[in-house]
Amino acid sequence: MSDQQSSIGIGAKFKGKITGAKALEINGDVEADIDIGKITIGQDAHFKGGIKADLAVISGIYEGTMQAESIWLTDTSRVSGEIRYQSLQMDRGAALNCRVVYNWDDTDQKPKKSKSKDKVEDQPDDIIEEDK
Amino acid sequence: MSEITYISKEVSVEGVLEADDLKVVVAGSFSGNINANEVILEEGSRFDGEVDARIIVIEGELKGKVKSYQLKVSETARVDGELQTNSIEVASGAEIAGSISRVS
Repeated sequence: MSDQQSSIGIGAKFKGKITGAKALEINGDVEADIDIGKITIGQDAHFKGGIKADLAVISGIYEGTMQAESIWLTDTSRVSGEIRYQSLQMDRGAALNCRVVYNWDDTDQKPKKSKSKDKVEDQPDDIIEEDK
Repeated sequence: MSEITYISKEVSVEGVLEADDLKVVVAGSFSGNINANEVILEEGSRFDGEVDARIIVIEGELKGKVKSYQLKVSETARVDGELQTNSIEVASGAEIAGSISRVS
């Protein structure tokens, strides 16, 4: 049990801070800001908040600003907000209503808050505006 | 397996976790509130806050409030706080400071 990676189970709700994890699997309903090596957002998950990661695998619902070297959006993923990546894989069926930025550079562009009008069902649609 | 919430050793968590009929295992550190069916605070873990669950097993360090139907405190545990339970088992070697009362 003790070598197991951290996870938030299906049906669990968490709001707060998670630090120190190398890898994390989220299957529940989570509101947090996370800085991590690898994060997996499962099919049943709903994640809201910022992510900084080396690798992010998204199969559930994500809302927020994500910054990762490598992002894999599977066919069940629903993303709103903003993603910044160096390498991106998207499966057929992935639903993106977000800004997508390649090869971000923190120093020369300060990200304005999330864009996109989001039409994804079963989530509260806070309407966020598109700006260029 | 995906129904268990697990906080591994090197991880610190701060916040509120609601896992009403689920199981939560903490091996790292948790500060805040946990609401679950079963909570296991493993040896080496640190918990600070309130935990409310049907079954609670404490093997690590805990500070705060505990409310459970069934509570087990193992020999590696160090507990400081308010324990509310209808059934308690304490292993020899466990350190408990604070109060123990029935769930009202």
